[in-house]
Amino acid sequence: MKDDLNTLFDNYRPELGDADEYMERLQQKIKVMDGVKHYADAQRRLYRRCMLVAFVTGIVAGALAVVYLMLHPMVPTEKMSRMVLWTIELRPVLTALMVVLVSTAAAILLTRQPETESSFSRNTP
Amino acid sequence: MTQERFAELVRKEQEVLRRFLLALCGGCREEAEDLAQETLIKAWLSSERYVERYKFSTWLCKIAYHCYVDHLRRMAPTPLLLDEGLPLPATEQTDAAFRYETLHKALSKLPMKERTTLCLFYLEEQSIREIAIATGSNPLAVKKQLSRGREHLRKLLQDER
Repeated sequence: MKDDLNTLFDNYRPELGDADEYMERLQQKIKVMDGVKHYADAQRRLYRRCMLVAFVTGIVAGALAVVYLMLHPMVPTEKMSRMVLWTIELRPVLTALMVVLVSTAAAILLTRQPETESSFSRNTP
Repeated sequence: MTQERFAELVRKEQEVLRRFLLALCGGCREEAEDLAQETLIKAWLSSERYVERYKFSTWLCKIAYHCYVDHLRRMAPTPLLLDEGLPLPATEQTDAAFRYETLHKALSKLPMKERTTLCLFYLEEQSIREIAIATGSNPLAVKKQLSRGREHLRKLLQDER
C-alpha cells in the first residue's frame, strides 16, 4: 500500500554519522555495563547465601532452644514474679513463635530480589 | 546470545532504530541518541530473554517504545516543539536538520500513540501485528491510530506549507 507518506518517509534519510564508530562506542558501553552486571550478580549471590545461612541458623538455633527447654524444665518458685511465671509457662509456645518469625523473615528476604537486579530488568519485554 | 551475535544484529538495525527515534523525538538528535543507547544497552542486558520467533527489530522497537514512554514521563508535561524551542547552534548537521524540519514539526504535534505508530509503520516498516506487539496494543487499535495519524499528519503538513 503505497501513498504520499511512503514517499515522504522513504526520503527521510537524516545524517546519523559513521556506523562503525557508533558500534565501537556501543560495544565499549556494553563492556562497562557487563562489568556492572557481573558485580550485581555476584552481590545478589552473596546476599542469597547470607540469607540462606541466616535461615538455617535460625531453624537450628530454634530447634536446639526447644530441645534444651524440654530437657531442662524450670521449676517455678514463690520468689518469681507473675510475669516470669507466665513466661515459663508459655515458653514452648514463645520459642516456637520466635522460630516461625525468624524463619519467615529469612524466607521473605531470600525470595526478595535485590534492587540492582530489578532495576536492570525494568522496562524490558 | 553472545556479544558478537548481538553486535551483528544491532549493526543491521541500528540505523533504522536511530532514524525512528530521531523522528519520534521531533528531530532532537541528542535526545534520540541517548534513547538509542539506552534501548541498545537494555536490549543487551535482557538479551537472554530474547525469543528468536520474534523479529529482532520488533523486539528492539518494543524496548525503544518503553524507553521513549519512560523518557516522556521523566520530561516536563508540555512537549518541546521545534517552533517554540531554543535556537539551534550552527553545526554541520544543522542544514540536514532543517531539511526535515517540516516533517519533524508535524510529527511533534501528533499525539504520542499516532506518532509512534506512524514511525513504526513507515520508518521501521513494521506490520500492524508487529506494531501491536511493540506498543502492547491490539491490531484493531493500531489500524485506527494509523488511519487517524495519516489524516492528522497530512493536515499538519499542509498547514506547514
